[in-house]
Amino acid sequence: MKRILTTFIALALVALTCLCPLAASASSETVTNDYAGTCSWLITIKNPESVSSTTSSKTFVISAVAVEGAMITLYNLNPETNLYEKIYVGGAPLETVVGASGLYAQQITLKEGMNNLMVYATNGFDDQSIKLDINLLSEGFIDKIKSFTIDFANMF
Amino acid sequence: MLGVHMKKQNLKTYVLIALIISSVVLTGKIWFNEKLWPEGYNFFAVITDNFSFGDDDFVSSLTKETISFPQTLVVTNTEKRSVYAADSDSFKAMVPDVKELLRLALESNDKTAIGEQDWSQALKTQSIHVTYPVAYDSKLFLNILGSYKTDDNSIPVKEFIISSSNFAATGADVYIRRYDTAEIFKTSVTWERQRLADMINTYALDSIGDFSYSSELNFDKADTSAGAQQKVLIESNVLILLNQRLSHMLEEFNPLYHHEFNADVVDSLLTQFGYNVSGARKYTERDNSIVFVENYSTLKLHPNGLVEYKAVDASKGIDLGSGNDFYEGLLGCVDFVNRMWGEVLPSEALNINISSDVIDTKTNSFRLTMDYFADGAQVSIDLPQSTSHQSMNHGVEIEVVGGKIVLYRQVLAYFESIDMATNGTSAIEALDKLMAGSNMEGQVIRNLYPVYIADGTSYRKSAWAARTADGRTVIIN
Repeated sequence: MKRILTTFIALALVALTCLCPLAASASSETVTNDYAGTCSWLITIKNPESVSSTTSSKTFVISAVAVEGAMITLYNLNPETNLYEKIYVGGAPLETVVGASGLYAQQITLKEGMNNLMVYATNGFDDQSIKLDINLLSEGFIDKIKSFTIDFANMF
Repeated sequence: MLGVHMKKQNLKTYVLIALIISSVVLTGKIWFNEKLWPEGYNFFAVITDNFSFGDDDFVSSLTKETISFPQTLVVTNTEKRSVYAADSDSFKAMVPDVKELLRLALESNDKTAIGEQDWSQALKTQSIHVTYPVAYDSKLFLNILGSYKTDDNSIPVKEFIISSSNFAATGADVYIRRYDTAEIFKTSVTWERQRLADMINTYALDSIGDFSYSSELNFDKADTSAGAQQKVLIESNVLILLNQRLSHMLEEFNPLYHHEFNADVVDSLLTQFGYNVSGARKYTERDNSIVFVENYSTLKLHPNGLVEYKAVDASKGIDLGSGNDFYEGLLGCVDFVNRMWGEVLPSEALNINISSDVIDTKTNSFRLTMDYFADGAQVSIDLPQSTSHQSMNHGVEIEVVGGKIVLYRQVLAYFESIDMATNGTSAIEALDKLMAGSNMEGQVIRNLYPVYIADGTSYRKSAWAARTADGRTVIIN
């Protein structure tokens, strides 16, 4: 009886040890800079259209289509640790489980300059990460463009 | 003996006075009560109507003015975006300028064809996106806006963008989208540019991320990569609410029937449809609905609030006095609905608008539907077919043949916002429900909008409705 119990506990420990990386990947606080995931079919980013983009708007909406049931989490690169860290807004992480439509959209506020983001998707077995570099133009730069446009218009 | 005689005389006097007073009161009641007089002959009732002694609280409103109101105005100022519907003061403040700009744009002969990319770009910058509840023939629409300029190039229109983002322009740019082909035309109109810019600055208040156009999220484009594929495409102009939002519930009232038919409302209906109030033949059906019969028509009143008028012959319908003119016929219908509401429920506002496209304007025979609105959202009517009536999916259905109303159906109801609130779903959650509950894969969503739906009681809760490119409307509950 004791042997059976010991075997059962050992098997449970083995199972837990095997499942731990998957569970951690769903809610891991950090992801290493070079992690690409185990597949490339969980998620397709719709906006921005390329992994490197420039915008003049502080408010940005990342949109995607993903496999139903996939959990999508947003991360931001910490340059000091070189790790992508989970983004929290109002104390809650930016995590969403994708529904039957497969549609995903998440609003974020960008900081001026380069924003190194990671979109991480997992279905509990496979995972996929996509790095996005979004450059928010400074207000001074935008004002310069506007004034140039007005001056150009006044020339005629 | 004398005392007894005196008492008897006094008693007779009192009885006589009482009889005189009661006869005066009863005569007055007969004179002033419309029910006891044939229609059109009650001089005293007419006098009381013309010189109203009470408060004039008639607030009904469905006019040429109200059908010229857009359904929504989306004001965008780069980082900010707000959506306004017809029930807000801000909406009413913007509408005069918006209508004038649209009139000037449609009157312009200098329109340039542009691409979808320019339209999408205009939505993102300093602009007002104007959407009407239905598509109108542009010539007719100009009439509604108060212009009588004739333009041979009549096109169906429903959506416009008024833009002030062109720094080089002195006026305003107006983009017009053709409803049937989705072609886009741009025209510049003379306008005080600063006035438009100020309006946009004043009314674009919320974060642009709360409402995103499908084109901004690229949900209008199919995927070409090998990854996850989009199951349902959403047309570029569809506005997607990203966050959940609280919405009030409505309470529905049936003014026609509450345990029994309201006699005053029934009389008003009979009068409106030209029936003799005191002499119309009638019978009651098994479901308690009443049918009034005249020589050339029937008027059926149902306990669920449905009113059905049907002329037996096309030539015997209710004459709108419009001759062969479609526009006059349309305004005649609007006026008829408005007058009827004014007779039946003078103290309740008529919050209704046209809900069927008004594109084919070449004939004076047409079908028109209207729907109720509350808190800026359409109230979905869904009366299933019963033993005594066909199904009814609109607030009002009117069929006009040769300038005469031959079929008129209306669900008499009014709605009041109550303090109970429900946590509404975001647009993406609604689409999740839609995809989970029906086979919509491969469909294109043409419109996604909030509606109020029945919840099995006298209350109505907010929900979403999706209109697909093949013309279906699906309520997402």
